[in-house]
Order: sequence, then C-alpha cells, then structure tokens
Amino acid sequence: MEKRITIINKLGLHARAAAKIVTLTNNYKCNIQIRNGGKIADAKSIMKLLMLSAPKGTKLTIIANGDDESSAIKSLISLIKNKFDENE
Amino acid sequence: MNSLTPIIIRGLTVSKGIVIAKCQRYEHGQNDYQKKFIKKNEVQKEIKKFNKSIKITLSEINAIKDTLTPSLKNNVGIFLDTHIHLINDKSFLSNIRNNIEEKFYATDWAIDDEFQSIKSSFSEMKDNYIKQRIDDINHVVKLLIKNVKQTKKSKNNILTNIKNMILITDDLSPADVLIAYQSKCCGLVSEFGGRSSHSSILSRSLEIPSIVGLKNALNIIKDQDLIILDGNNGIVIVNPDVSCVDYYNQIKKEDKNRKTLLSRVMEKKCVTTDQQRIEIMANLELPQEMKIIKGKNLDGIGLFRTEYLYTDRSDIPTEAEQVADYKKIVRGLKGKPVIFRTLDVGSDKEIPENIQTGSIARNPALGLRGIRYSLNNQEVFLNQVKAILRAGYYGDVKIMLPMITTLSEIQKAKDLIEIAKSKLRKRKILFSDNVEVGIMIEVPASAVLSSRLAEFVDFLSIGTNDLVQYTLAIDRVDDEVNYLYDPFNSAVLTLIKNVIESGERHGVDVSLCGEMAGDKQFTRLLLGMGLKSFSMHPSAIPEVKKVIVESNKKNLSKLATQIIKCVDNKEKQKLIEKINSESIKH
Repeated sequence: MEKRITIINKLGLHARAAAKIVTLTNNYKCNIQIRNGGKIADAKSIMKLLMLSAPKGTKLTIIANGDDESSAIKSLISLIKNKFDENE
Repeated sequence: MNSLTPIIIRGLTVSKGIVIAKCQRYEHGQNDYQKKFIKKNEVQKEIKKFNKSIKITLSEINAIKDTLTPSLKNNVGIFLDTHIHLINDKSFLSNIRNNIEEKFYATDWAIDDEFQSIKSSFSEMKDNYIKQRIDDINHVVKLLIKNVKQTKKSKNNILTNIKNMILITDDLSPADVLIAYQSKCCGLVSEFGGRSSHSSILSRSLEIPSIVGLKNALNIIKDQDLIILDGNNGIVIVNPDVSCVDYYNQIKKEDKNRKTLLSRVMEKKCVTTDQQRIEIMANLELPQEMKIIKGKNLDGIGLFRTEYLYTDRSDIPTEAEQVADYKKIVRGLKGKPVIFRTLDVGSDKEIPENIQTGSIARNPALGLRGIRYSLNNQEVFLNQVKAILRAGYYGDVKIMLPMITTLSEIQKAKDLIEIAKSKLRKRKILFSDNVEVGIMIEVPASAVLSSRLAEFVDFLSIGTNDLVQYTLAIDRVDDEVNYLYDPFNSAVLTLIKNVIESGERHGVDVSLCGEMAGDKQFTRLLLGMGLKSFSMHPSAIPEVKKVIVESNKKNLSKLATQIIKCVDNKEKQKLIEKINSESIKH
C-alpha cells in the first residue's frame, strides 16, 4: 500500500517530529518505509528519517506492507497532517 | 588582596533575563579514546560492553524522565524521547555492531566511527534546522562512549549542587538543561550551541536565562567566580566591580517593579477614568503567538495576518489546512471575536514565489496587492474565505479585506463571499452564515470616502502604516526619505478623524490596527479623537493599557482637535507633550 503526503509543519521532518513517527510506527507490525525522491527510510528508524532531510513542502511517499498496513498509513498521515501537534 | 579585574565576554543570548550569582563549571570533554583494534576472540566481550553502555545510557535518560513532573513531562519529555529513540535506533546500533564484529574496532571507536559517517551525511543536508540535529546525535554518542568506560551507572551527568548558581559548560544537552532546572540552577552558559538547538528551546520554555557560544568560557571563568549573566544583551561579566553589580541590581529591581505594575494593570477592566470602555485587541501573525496572549484579558484579535500560510512553500495552502489553523485560533478565543485579514501580499511584504503578481511591478506599493490580488486570483480568495467561514462555526469570526480603494471592490469581494457560502452549503459542511465583513482603511481614497463605504460594511479598521505612507508619498523603507514618515502629520490625523466620525455616523465599529495603536505616545491623542478600539502587537498591550486606564477621555478631545489642526511642527510638539503629560490625567 502506498500514499503520498506533503510535510506542512514549519520545521519539517525534524528530530522531535521523527521521534513521534517512530513512537507511532513501533506500534505496528507491518514494514513501513518513507520515500523522499531517491532516498528511502525505514519509518521505525529515527536516524534514517532524519537523513531523508525533508523540510516543509517536501512531498513524501509512505509505503507499508503487512497485516496492519492500512491503519498504520492512516495514523501516519493524520500525524503529518496535524503538523506533529506542533503549533506551526 | 588584589581586586579582580572584571572581564566581559559576549555570546549569543538564547533565553532572556538577568542573573547575578556564583558559578560552577562542568566540562563534558571530548570523545577521548584511542583507535584500538581488538582481537577476534574479544568480539563477544566488546559486544557485551557495548550492550551494557546502551543499557546504562538508557537508564540514565529514563531516570531524568522519571523525575519530571507530569506537566513538564508532557511539554518537554519529547526531547528525551528523541534521545531514547536515537539510542534504540536499529540501523545505528547494527552499524556499530558491524564495526566491532567485522572491522574489529574497539567499542568506543566503533561508536565514534558510525557517528563520523552520520555526521558527513548530515553535513550535506540543505535544511539548516534539521542539519543542526547532529548536535543531538553527538550528545547521545558522548553518553554512549562515556558509559563504555563506566562500569556502573554514574550518579549524574552534571553536578547537582548547583542550586542558585550559574552553570558554565562546554556544551549542554537537553538532559543537562532538565537536570539544571530540577537542581534549581539559575542560569546557563555554554561555549557551544545555537539559538535553535533543543537545549536552547528548552531553556527558553523553562525560562532559565541562558547564553551560548561563549568561547573559552571554561578557561576564563573559575569555580565560585561571581558573574553577571545578562541574557537580555548576551553578555557575561566575570568578577564585576561593586558599581556594576549595583547597576544590574537596579535594573533587576526596575524590571520586577514594572512587571508587577503592568500585571496589575492587566487585571483591571479597560476603562478610562471617566468610565469610557475602550477595547484592546491583539494583532497576531502566527498561530503559536496564541500562548503570548493567554490570560491577557483581551477583547479579541483585531488583526490575524494570514500571510504566514502562503510563505516558504511552492503551492497554495489547501482549504483544509487553513481550516485546521483558523479553528485552533477561534477555539482558543472562546467566543471572543477574531478578525481574519484575507491574504495581503505586495508592497514591503515579501512576495512568495507561489503568488503570481503578474509582471514585475515597477512600484509594488501601488501594484497588484491586497484585495486587488484576491479579486484577480479568485480561487485563492475563495479557498481562504471558505476556510474562515468554516472556522466561524466554532466561535465569532470576522473577515477583513485589505487595501480597499473603491466600493466596487467591496461589492465584488462580498459577491465572492456569497459564492463561497453557497459552495459550502452544497457540500453540506458546517460554517457560520453571519460572518461580519469589514475593510481596512489604508488608502487615502477610502479614508476620504469612509462615510460612503461604511454603509456597505460591518466595520472599519485603520491601517496606519500604509495610510501614512500613501498620504505623505513616503516609502518607509527608503533611507533617503523615511525621515518624512510622520504619523502626527495633520493630513494623516485629519483622515483618521474622518474615519472615526464616519463609523459613528453609521453605527459601524472603528478600530485602529496599525503601529500607532501600540505606541503609547499616540494613545491619548487617539482617545481624544474618539477612538474606542485599539489592536496591537501583544507585547505593547500592557504599556498602552496603562495609559488608557489613567486617562480622562473627555478632557482629551479639545487638545486632540488642536493637534490635528496645528501645522507648525514646534507648536505641535508642545501640544503633544501637553496631551501626554501627567497634569491632565484626571
């Protein structure tokens, strides 16, 4: 399963945002990857997520494989859409 | 005994405030180790060492996390979580294990080698904020390397006997800031660091005065030295003399007095001494400024600028994205009005690349800006209006149109607002049907004709920055002419007075949201001219409110009229001094 999404929070996919992604994806069994152009990161690795280097406006593709893939993608999308619960 | 020579060191202020206290130094040191190969049969032992270091480091961070109060944990726990995730990161750990198992590096070298390779990929990044997160990885790596040598859990990273002292370090990790906070340390100084590092964000939110980037601080400052940390100006004074300490004590005292006085003013109702109710509202330009106005006893938001949504991006914000932000603001105001100004691009405001303003304007202040842009790009305008109407469902919102020059612009914009409503109705989406629509008065033409325009709108809001600029034909950012920029100019004041009277004549609210509203030298003049609603930057509110509650509105009108009429600058200056003098307070 694949979904495209744009990073809209001011600071982009920074460390605290990536930490929130990892906290979330650790709850899912499925394999989740996030792609930024040619770079692919394991969505359970904060280091790899940071190395995607995705500031505000970056278009990402989320790819999930496994039993709970659809709910994993759904909650990831809502986290990113909610700007990681940041104020800006 | 020789008296010590005071030394002043300059750094980068990251959290404001003044502290005078003795200091305690703490040096984390570098990742000192020797690049040592291990033997094949030592691999298991080395891996065990590494696992132990991970365990100790995690338990150290968790120990700090456990001591946090619940509210602190909610707000700042995420900084520690970030470090926990880094330490648990599978790819990071497996690369280090590979270094041990396949390259036969000793553990500390294996960790640092992985750090160096991460560092080089970070250095290629373009985004500076994300790039700076290498500092966090560095903090984690330092802890891991330190704990390779340590056999037991160390007591604490930084000293705990720093109560009421200023901590001087080479580098601060977020965990250090939290420990310092819990140990009641009163100020932070570090040799290394930047304004947007996690540690700096933390010291700001915990309100610990803090300066970073003070090179050689550990060499210059000694334990128990008395220092003054001036977080307002980014300087540290080591071994200050008596007069210097007195001076800073005086500033601290004045700051405190001013704060208590102003906070007392903020609790009061905003009425003049002759019982005239005056509205005070805030100008905001970012949603996160909501926390500044929290508990400030305001009458609403008189100007919410929406340009931030459109800048730094290549596309136009979606309706949903705008609704999410606007809703937060409206809910935060709990029923008090929020006036959203529709997109106002052009002039001195930087034009984002996603906004097409046609050919390059020769004179952007007179070009396609404000409502002119919106009427030319109706989809962008409709999107925004729909979002504002939808947010209106959750409270009291108003729409304000910038740069209105003619009646036809008002009519066209109102037609579009009706179209937006019918579109929402078709989609069966909740929105507010009776949102007031008002206009900014910032073009002289609309100030002159304000009485006619007032018949077609629900409120008028005077934008003095542009009004002054257009009336006097002065570009504020042009150094050669900006000395002529003068809000006291009689032509400007006559226009403002005319707008206030137009509003009264038609029963339409008039407020003023330009810089004049937040500058206390104009407060009494505006009161005397009959203004009943001021909207300003939140930081200006206490001072302006203080002037209002100490003024008698009735006694000001005669002097105000004299000031409007006076065209002689010297004479005018005297009248201004008079209106602002204490003597006519009551």
